Amino acid sequence: MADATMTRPSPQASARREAGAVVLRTHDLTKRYGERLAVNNLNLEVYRGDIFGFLGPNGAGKTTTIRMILGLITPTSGSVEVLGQDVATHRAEVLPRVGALVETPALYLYLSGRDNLRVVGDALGGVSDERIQAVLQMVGLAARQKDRVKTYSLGMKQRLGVAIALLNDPDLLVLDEPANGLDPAGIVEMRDLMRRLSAEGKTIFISSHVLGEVRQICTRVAILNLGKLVTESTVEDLTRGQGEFAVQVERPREALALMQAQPWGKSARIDEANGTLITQAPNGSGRDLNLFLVNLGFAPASLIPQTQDLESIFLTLTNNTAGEVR
Amino acid sequence: MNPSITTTTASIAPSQARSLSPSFIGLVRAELYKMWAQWTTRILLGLVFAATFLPYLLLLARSQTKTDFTAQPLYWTYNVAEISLTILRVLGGFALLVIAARAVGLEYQQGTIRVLLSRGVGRVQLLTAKLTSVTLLAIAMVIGSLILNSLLFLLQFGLIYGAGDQFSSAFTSGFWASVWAYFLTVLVSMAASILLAICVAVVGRSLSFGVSAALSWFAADNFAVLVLFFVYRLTQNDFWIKLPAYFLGPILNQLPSAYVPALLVQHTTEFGTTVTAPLGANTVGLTPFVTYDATHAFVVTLIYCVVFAVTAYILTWRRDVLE
Ligand SMILES: Nc1ncnc2c1ncn2[C@@H]1O[C@H](COP(=O)(O)OP(=O)(O)O)[C@@H](O)[C@H]1O
Ligand SMILES: [Mg+2]
Repeated sequence: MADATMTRPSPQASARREAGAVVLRTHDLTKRYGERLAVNNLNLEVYRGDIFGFLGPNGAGKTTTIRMILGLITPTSGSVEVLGQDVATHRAEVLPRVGALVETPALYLYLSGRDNLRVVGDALGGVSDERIQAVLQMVGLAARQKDRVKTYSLGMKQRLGVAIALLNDPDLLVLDEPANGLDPAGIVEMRDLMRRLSAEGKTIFISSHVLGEVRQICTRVAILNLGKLVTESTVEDLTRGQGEFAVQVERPREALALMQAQPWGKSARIDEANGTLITQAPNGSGRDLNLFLVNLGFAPASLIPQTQDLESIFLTLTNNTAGEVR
Repeated sequence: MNPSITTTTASIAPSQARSLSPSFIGLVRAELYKMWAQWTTRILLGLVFAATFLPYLLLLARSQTKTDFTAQPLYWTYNVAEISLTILRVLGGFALLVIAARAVGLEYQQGTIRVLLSRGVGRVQLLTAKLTSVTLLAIAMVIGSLILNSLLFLLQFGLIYGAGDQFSSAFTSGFWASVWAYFLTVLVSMAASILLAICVAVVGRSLSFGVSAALSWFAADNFAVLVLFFVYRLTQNDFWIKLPAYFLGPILNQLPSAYVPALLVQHTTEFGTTVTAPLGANTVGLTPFVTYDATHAFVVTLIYCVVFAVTAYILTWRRDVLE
């Protein structure tokens, strides 16, 4: 028990990474609907303090994964561990420490916003009125708390859904497309709320099919497509690109032919738009690439490591199949 | 891409003051609150209580009720009791059918079941809490109806008619035995209604399916009695006429007449002759054309109840929640 996991998470992300506590982990998680693999051998690790972006186009399997995490549907195979316990066998201990919002917010439309929190609170073993008021404040619904949810806009319902998720001060927040139905201002507010909660030490697992909604706040992202994990890494790692460089030289076609003869240069090409060479480097090193070119008499005018923007990575990783009818 | 650091696993640390865990009592309280917050519940209960006044108002409007009652207190008291219990059985059963189907159906329809389950509330626990809260509501309704009936009876016959002296000959032990037996059949039929409604709402996982299937069940099996009777007339095969003895609705309709001991009462007919005749229990709705004894009726009802409950629990327990 005296391990690092017992310490409260520090505010710095790096320190949290060192603490290394896994809050959520999936093992070969698979869900099959008839012939279709909605989720295919998914292995994820979410660390304490992460804001984990779970990205993928519509139909990628995000909601299905989240439902399995929350014990709502039974995996075809594989398992989910939350806070170190298998959800299938320890749901009563573990799930009360998770706050979740799955798809469109599910609410008791005939009750007021406050009464929605009250009945869920009762079911969870009692939540104080102060806590209810606090979460209503947090999501900006205090003024409308006595109105029936039936009269709320979609954005308000979404926020009440988040309030329900926050009700029992969970360690892990699982939010499925929380920005759906929010206007741009609402999305900004939602992001601010996520940042504040993260600063309080909560781990946030947030799914989205729109990268722009979450990219500014995520510490790590996983990209899912057709039920399979395409990539999982930090945002920095992902945007660092594939180790390619853009090189401006005179006589680029001659240089290209020489590079393509090298083992590291197989993917070298010329960007027709501006005539720059795009290539990998020997040992992945810009310095070595520079030396290679200089030795052959092609002193580069410029040599720039390529960073990829997350949007385009997301699109390249997912678009070959995104439009397909499944 | 894999982090090459060794990772430990976060254990359940007792952080802050939130040792929350799903509580059954809390669930039942939440269920009762939700039920009461729905206008449908209030309107249905209001209907049951409004209907309770009906027989008393009719008797009050009848000029010779006081004379009749003074002459034959047992006969009239028993009739009033029986009509009141019949109203409770039919209307109360209807109200519970709708309320129970809504309690389950709405949760699926509005998707709120996933909010509760994703917080660690057990599926079986949730269904049991719903069953418990509908049962509590039923008990409250029955007790309320009994109190209201007693008050109305005492008010009308005791205070308005000043007939207190006749009460001793009205409330005989035979009277209580029959009324108690009738009351039991009311409870049995309510229990069957609740379980039927919960079962079909779980099967359909929707409000509209739950409510309409629960309501049409009894309409359908009553109607089937007639259809099967004609099939019997055409085919002359006994099987068809015996079949309704296994239908829930007709069996419940028949239960009072099969189970409640007939009360022997002296009754003066319109023609002035006094007869001593057994007063059988009222039936409402169709009964099987072949009569069976009470044991048969109870056993068949019990089997239905068990099947409803087991189906509801197994489906709730096993199925994925896709709402
Ligand atoms: N109950 C179901 N039955 C059959 N197929 C389903 C079911 N639920 C989801 N799917 C399929 O699984 C895939 C993943 O769906 P989902 O998890 O909802 O994707 P996302 O949330 O990423 O948009 C989709 O192709 C969807 O059609
Ligand atoms: Mg989804």
